[in-house]
Amino acid sequence: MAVTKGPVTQGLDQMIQDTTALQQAILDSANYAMIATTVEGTILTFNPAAEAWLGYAAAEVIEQATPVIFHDQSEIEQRAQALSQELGAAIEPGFEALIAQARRGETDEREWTYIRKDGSQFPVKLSVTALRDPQNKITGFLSIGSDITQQKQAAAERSYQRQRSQLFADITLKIRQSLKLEDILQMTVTEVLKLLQSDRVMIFRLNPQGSGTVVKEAVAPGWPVILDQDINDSCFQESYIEQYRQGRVGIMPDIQQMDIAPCYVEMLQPFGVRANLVVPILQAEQLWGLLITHQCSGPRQWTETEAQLLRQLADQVGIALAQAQLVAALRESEARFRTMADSAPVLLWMSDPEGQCQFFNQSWLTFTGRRPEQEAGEGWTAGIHPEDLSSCLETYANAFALRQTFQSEYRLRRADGEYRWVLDTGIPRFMSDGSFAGYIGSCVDISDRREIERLKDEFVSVVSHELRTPLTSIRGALGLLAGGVLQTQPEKAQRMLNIAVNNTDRLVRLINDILDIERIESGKVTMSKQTCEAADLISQAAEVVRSLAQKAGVTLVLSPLSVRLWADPDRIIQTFTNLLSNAIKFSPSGSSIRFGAELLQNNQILFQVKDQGRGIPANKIETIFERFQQVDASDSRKKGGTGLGLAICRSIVQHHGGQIWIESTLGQGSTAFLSLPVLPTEAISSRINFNDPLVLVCDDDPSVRTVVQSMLEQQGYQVITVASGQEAIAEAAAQQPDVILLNLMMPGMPGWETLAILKQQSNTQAIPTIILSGLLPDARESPYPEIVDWIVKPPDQQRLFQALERALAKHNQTVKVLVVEDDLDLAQVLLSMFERYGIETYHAQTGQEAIQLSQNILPDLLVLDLVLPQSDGFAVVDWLRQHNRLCRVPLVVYTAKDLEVSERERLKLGQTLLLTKGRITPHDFERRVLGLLNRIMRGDTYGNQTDSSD
Amino acid sequence: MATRQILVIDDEDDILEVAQLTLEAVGQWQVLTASSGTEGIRLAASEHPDAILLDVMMPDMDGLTTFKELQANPATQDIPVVFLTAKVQPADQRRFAQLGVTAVITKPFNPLDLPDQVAKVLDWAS
Repeated sequence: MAVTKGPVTQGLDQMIQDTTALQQAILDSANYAMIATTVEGTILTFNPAAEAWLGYAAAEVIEQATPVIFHDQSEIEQRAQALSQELGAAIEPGFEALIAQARRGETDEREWTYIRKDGSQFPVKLSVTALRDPQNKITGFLSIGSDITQQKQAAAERSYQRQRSQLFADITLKIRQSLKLEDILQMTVTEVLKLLQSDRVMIFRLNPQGSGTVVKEAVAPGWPVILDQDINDSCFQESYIEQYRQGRVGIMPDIQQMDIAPCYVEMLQPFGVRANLVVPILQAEQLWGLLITHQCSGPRQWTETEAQLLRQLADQVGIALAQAQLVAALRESEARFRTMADSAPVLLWMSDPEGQCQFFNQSWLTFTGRRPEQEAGEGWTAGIHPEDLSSCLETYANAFALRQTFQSEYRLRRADGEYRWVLDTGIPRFMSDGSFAGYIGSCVDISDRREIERLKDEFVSVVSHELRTPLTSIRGALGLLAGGVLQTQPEKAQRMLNIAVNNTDRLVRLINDILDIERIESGKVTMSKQTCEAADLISQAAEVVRSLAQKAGVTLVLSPLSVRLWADPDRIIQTFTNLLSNAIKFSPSGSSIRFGAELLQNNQILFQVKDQGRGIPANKIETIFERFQQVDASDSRKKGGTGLGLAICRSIVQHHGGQIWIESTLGQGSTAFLSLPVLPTEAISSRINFNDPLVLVCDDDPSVRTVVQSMLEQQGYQVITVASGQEAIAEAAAQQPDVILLNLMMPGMPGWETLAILKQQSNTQAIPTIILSGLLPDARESPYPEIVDWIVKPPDQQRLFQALERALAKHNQTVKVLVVEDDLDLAQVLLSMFERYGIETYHAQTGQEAIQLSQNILPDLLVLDLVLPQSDGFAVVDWLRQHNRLCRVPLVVYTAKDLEVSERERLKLGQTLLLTKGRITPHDFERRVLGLLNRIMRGDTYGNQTDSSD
Repeated sequence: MATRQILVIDDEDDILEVAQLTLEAVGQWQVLTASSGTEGIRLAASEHPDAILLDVMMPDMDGLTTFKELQANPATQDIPVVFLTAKVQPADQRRFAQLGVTAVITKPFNPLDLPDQVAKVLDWAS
């Protein structure tokens, strides 16, 4: 029971007593620690609340102590210091510090720490007032204190909550903002360490086997860093992992005191762990890892709040993980879509719900040659052909309004400027909630398909016309006969019968050919391939057309080659027959057709049918293999063709893996080339081909002819033999041999007379002639300007061959070749090739140089590369074309470029050979170019003479 | 009334011959023939026939070009032209009609009916 001793006044005793009792009741029942002191600080009043809070009995302190004993000395000192400064006078760090402000008449209310008798502390709010008598003189001090422990705790809790919310918000924001898992995890451990003031926070990534790695760590200074450590502990796996799988939290306030597996303690010790708090990180209900906080400095009683916080954070991390996985999956899906879209051969586009195109795949961009930003929105419509734009946009807008799938055909500009027909198919896209997301569409280039359809329509139309034409004649002729109109006109009736019969034949041929080509091209007819002999095919085909040739007065010259082929002999003979018939039809009477073959290096045999006919105009040479594309449409009537022969030939050859083409010079004849693969063969029995020099042997003695022929053939010459001067003159004119070997003493027309006629005739006078006679030349010096040499029979082989070479060289002596090639190595190879034949060579490295040199030397042949520095090959040809003396220069274009038809057209000068580097072997190149040169040198001679005779 | 004169232009000699025979023997008309558009135009201008039977698919100058040239020439523009063609697809027929061709007779034709057909489309009283 607390006691108060106050001043007692006698007269007012009762009143005072009542008042005192009231005060006492207040003091006793107050929930405030009330302590009254004297002016000096001696405690006079110490109420029961003060007793209860501070642990002192009133009797212990009243008149015994000053309130200073309940205070923290350091707080008193701090207060004294502050007051000294504030008041400008020294305040002693004792009782005075507690009451100085009250003494000055001011209310002094502040927080202090009270120290209990047992030394424990608690926060109080003290209100100190000076007690005054009626004269306002200070008689003592009263302090009223309230215990603010709970408020303090609540404030601490509030602040902690704030921090926790803040951390939570930060992490959630981070998850929302960054999507970077690494950042999120790092922030989590760092912030948790700060918030919990623990010694280590880490994220432990578990693998399915139960071991794991510390993937993120925040650690207070002084404790071991265990980041990136792999922890593979069977104890942990066996004892604890299951509880975490179930989502439980592991709380260990002191591992030394707890009943836990010794092996677990052993595992934690190296990390300095004394207490830990472990929460599982679950992702899609699977244990992904653990969020762990360690206290190393000592044991720690983890609060429920702390466990809760950690758990919530672990959940957030789980969400972040799921999100990261989703993002990764999304990225992968997008990457996959892009890869797919970009590698798709079709052009793909995507639009947004407003109809603006936002995506174009690589194929689209490559096709249009434009950048995504140029195509975006409505930019792509710039590529639509102006004629198709409005209908295209209308289709698009209509479909868009109705959200319907659409198809639209329009022309889209390709990067090279060419408009291509595309079929655009657009499909509306909808989100999973059913909302419209725009369109996705694809464009397919249908130009070729349209072209095929057009060709098909055209073919049907042409076939219909071709069939109806003979039918019209037949129907008309027979109708007149049947109608009896011609009963009185027997000649006309007969004529009508002939028309009907001829046109029936024509119709039969046509129908056969149409069926044939249809069956070959559709694969309904398979080639019955077998081993066959090229020489047999040649002679059999020649046999088929022999009577036709005889009727036309055309000579067939065969150069069979013994090579085995894998082919359908009937079909190949059909092809040869067709080529030969064409050659015969278009050859003038008296001319000859050479039909032979040679072996190419690439295991191919090259057949050639070469005529001296009217030739094929350059603009027809590409289309002549198409159906119904005769050079002259009237040919089908006049020459009995159907217009399908070459198309059939091409199909047959293609079915044999071969190629067929024609080279031609208008007015000088055509050569049909046909290459086929050969069966491997060890020996080639003959190396004859008609690019080897052709020698005409004229001797009345058959044994001489045989001997000389075999001698020459062994040496690689082609030989034709004749028995008389007259024949020699005819054959020389027809065959244009490179050399003539002429006997002198012959019955009928003697050699000298023959020679004289040969030298008179414009088309034979340039052919070098060698006398091969039993007679000796007489002693005149250079007596025979017309002859190259005189060889006495029986001929000495070496002497004969030397003479032939001289004759051929003489034939070639003025040939000048200009090689235009910027690759010096290749140029050197080409130049030496020509030099081997004694040809004069010139070299230009640039287009400009080629033009200058051409003007100076007037070459007989130009070998031209196309890709050149300064003016390319096209420019050179364009220039030469405009110059009279050069516009007909024979040209060999030797280029790595595959030429378009239009480019081929641009490259025609005189006789032109287009050879592709890499497609033709050096051997073939040499052969073809020298073949051309030979033709030129012969042709040129005649050309000049034709000019002069005109 | 003088004998009608009709010009037949066709690159097929046999068809020309048949057509000529039937138009002369059955139709009792005078017949001129030309085996190309160029020749046909020349003859039309010089002879001014009463009608022209014109083939469509001809090499060099086809029937359509020939027709246009005939129309463009004051000397020949009033001569009625009947196409005699193996082109029987509707699209072709429509195109001919648009050009202002008087009529189209398709090949093969019945030679005994041809003169009647021609007379009918040209509104010639027989």
